[in-house]
Amino acid sequence: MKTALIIEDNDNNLELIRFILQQAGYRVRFAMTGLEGVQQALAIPPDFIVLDIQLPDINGLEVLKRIRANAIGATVPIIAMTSYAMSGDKERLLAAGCTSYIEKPIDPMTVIAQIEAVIGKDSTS
Amino acid sequence: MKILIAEDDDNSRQLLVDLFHSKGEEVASFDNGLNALAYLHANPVDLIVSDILMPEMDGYGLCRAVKQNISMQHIPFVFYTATYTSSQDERFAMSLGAAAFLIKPMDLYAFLDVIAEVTKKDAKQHRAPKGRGLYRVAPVKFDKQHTDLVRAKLDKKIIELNQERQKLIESEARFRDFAEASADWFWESDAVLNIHALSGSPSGLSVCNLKDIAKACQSHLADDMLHVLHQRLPFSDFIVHFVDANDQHMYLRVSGKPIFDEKLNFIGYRGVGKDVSEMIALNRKVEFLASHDELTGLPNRNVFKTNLGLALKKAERNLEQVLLLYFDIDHFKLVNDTLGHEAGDQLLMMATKRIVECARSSDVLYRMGGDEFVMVIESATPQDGHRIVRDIVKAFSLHFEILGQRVYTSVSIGVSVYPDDATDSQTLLTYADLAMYRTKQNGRNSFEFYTPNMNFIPKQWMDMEHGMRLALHKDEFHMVYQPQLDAERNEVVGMEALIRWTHPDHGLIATNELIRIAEQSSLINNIDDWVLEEVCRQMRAWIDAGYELPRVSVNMSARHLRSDNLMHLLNNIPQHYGIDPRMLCIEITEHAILEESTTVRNNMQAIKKAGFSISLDDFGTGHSSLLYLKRWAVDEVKIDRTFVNDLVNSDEDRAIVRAMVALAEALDLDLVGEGVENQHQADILLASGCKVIQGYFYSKPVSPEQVTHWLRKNVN
Repeated sequence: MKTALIIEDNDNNLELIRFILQQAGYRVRFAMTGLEGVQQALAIPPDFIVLDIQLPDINGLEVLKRIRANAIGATVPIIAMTSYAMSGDKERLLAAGCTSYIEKPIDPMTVIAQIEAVIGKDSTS
Repeated sequence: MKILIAEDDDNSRQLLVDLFHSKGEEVASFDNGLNALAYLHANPVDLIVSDILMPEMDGYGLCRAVKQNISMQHIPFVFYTATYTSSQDERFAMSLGAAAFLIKPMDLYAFLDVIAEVTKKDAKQHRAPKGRGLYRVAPVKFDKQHTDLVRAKLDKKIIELNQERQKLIESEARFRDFAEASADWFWESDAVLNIHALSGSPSGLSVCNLKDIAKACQSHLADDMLHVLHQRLPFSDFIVHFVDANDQHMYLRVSGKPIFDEKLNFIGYRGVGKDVSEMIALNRKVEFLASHDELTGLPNRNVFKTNLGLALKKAERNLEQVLLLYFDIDHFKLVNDTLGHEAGDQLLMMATKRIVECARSSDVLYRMGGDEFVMVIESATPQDGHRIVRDIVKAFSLHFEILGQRVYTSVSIGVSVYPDDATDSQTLLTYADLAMYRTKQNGRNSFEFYTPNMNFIPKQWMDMEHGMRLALHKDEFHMVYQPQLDAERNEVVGMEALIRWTHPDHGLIATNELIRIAEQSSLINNIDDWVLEEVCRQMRAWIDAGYELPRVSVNMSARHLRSDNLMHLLNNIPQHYGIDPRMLCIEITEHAILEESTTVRNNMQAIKKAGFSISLDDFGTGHSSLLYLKRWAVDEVKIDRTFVNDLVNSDEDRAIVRAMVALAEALDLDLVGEGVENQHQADILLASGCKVIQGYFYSKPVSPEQVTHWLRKNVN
């Protein structure tokens, strides 16, 4: 069973994405601040990370950079979620090492397919 | 009178001898018929008393021989015999010429009466012999009757003996059952102390000499026991310790007593032993639990204190150094919170193992509680210490596998050295802890040796934080208020509420220092709470006294602004005191809104929505963009004192202030000049368009009492 780390400060969004991932057979951990997310990602590496870009302390881009800067987090798939509609965001995220990118609002029916397109289908689940 | 007694049983014979002696008779006694007969041939007697069953020649044989001998046949012959007699016995005896047939046991007086009668009768017979002649019993007839009778007697005796034997067997079996049912085992030794167990000897006990058992006693008792054995003394409850073939430790409790034969020669020991291994193990377990941490099996804080004391004494004698290592597992709390206590426990156990593996076997690791460990390294130099802590830090570079998860953690270590840093346990421990704390501050995953300059700063810092916590409960904080003056209209338009702390030892603490310390910890939230409550309480008091109040500004920390609790606080406390939010201005520092954060933004919006105004403190020192001023609907900006300071001399600062004024006007913001200390500065500000000033020029922060005084004056 693969483990997902969700970094998301909004209760509702967190609950939704958590529910979707659990239904799809993933073990889910979460962090509600960027710093906590970085710490978890590096201390107890998950199999992949779902990262909200707007976070209360350090923003998602910074989270991304800090995870990628460490050898432990260099290769873990990170899927960013953001409602930023501004152009250039996607490029900045990808340049910072983000593996993939999902725009909010997320579609519960297709989000798993989008994630599994990145991390591969979990053969053990 | 001379009496011959033939009786094989010693006791019975002696009894008869004594009895006749007591009557003044002369006695010759024999334990078998043949000896008695031999005596009779040479010595005349007056009476013969005989048992029946005797070795060599029985009573019947003796009686027949006497009665068939011409020179003896006149001697009265009395049978005095034990049980198992029949009437045939008596008839046969009388047919042989016996004078009487008496059955044991018999009342002694009755016995003597019969004896007296028999001898008297015999005397008569002597005087008038009947000429009856010898009792000549035909040999064949005698043999047959004799054999039959003796056989019957023997058969009977065999039956009785068998019954006795049966009883003994039963008794022995009974005791054997008891012995086997008991946890004890029984043993005997020979004169050279080789032992053999009689029952239930513990399996695996290979020792077979008492001296070996003695040597297995606890050291100080071994000599005692050897002494006891040498002196052939009894001993009890010696605890001896063996390791059996399977490396199992076995404890026996042994007691024994010497045994001697009838000539008082020592022939060995006899005693009991009991396997008390379980009891001893249980005792040790109890002792162990009291002194060790159950999870890791490491000795605990109590043992540490004792052992460090001993180690320091030893080092003092040997002029050696002792290193004290203080460990803290980085990210332990994260693992515990994220993966659960079970994972946390596993991490502690695995971390313990890694630490121990890097040290020498003589270096003992103690668990002080939580994720903190201490190691005492004796007879080592700081160079040894460097090597060991480097190894330990390195050992943590490999991840841990916990509950199927990879966990990356590290360790922060602090080291103090005896006697270089300190000579007492408590100080050494504090210093190692401080050094560990410094390691954490420097980014964890490393080690620091204690240096004296560590002593002051973090300790003072920690003391202050601690003191601040206490201060909250001890009313050591108080508020002062600094008026804000509209210089154009010469009217007080507001007051900034400022916290002051009078430390019981250090006196008044600088507000900057106070806030800096508080912001390092979560204490700042408590202090913000306290301030808001105190200000609202004071405002209520003024309002109740009928005074008209200017708006009051309250500082809110950056940390609090990121907190979900902020609005709860702002919604409840003013309401509780009936203070209209419009009478309050929330001052936040510029850097508090620098982080792009949903919570901050939400809080800012909520503050506005609730009716408070927002003032941006220290404006111009951070990097706040104009966009933020607009997006977050700030009502007021405060020109930082750094710009006001040099206003008189610096064209640049004057230009900046003018730009700020223009900006404020364009965005419709109120403006306050902070730190105004003289007329000159006030004039320039006013000329630039900043009308409201705050600073020592107009008034320093004053006590609530002074504010009251001033308010009263205003009313009048």
